[in-house]
Amino acid sequence: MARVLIVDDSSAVRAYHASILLGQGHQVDLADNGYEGLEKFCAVDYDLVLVDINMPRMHGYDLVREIRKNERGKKVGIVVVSTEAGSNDRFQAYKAGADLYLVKPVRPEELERVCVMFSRAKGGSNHDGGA
Amino acid sequence: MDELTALTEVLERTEDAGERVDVVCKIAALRAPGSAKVLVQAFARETDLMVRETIVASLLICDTEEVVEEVAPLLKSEDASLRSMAFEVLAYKGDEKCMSIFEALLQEADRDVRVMAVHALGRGTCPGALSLLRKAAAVDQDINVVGAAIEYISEIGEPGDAELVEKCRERFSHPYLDFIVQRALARLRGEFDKIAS
Repeated sequence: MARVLIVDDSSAVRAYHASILLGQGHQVDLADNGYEGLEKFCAVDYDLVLVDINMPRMHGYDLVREIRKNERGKKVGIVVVSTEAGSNDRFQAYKAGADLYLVKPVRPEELERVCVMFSRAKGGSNHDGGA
Repeated sequence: MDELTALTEVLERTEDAGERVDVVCKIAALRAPGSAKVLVQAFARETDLMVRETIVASLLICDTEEVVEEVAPLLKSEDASLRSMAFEVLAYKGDEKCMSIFEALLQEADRDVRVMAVHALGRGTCPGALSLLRKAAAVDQDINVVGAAIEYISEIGEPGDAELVEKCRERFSHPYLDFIVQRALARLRGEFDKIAS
């Protein structure tokens, strides 16, 4: 089981991703903007963070950069999930520190594969922190 | 030299972020033609977060049409900061005078621009937003645009929109759209216990 933070300004997308991950037995926390996402990230030990790009105030690239500056952020899996499908967007996401780039809409099996991959990569974390 | 020109020069020259915040507020308070353009240009070169936030807040009190004309093209920018700013400002500033600009954004070839236009319309207070969202849901060929439009139709629409929402599901075969449509139908029918938060 992975602990996942979903940062997306669309409530429907947050709910869609959360319903998939909860249905697969993962723990999920939600944030609707970059600032809230960063605050939650600093409080909890996550296996994976799903980050949207186009959000008001703090966009996804800045959030990824801020997470990577954090000591805990050096190990966490960061997956950018965006409608932006251009190569420049991928380049910017990887340059900011993302591990993977997925184009919306994501299929449930794709999200599950990513969760398994990053929870294994982290060596199975214990999730004592609370959101 | 008029006041806007003088303030613009100070804004461009000063290295003191606090002073730039003051000048941004003064430019917005002038409410002079051209203020929005100066603020948008300042945002593009600004790196200080506090000054950027002040510029966004200041744009919200400038003349609506001028602001929308200046920021709408930025939804196409390669710079995510500019896109995010434009998106945030458009959501607050859109009114009936800006309908033609939103209509044009919804015709853009770039689907990301259309997605952001839908979000700005859905979150804003534009009186004609619902009709544009219905049109986007009915005719757009991109699943993300249609999904975003359905999200807002379910929030500001009427029970009669359920038929349109159902038809959207028939046009796309993807678990994402199934989820969005189910959620929207529950909301439009007032079945709040069925809505996943």
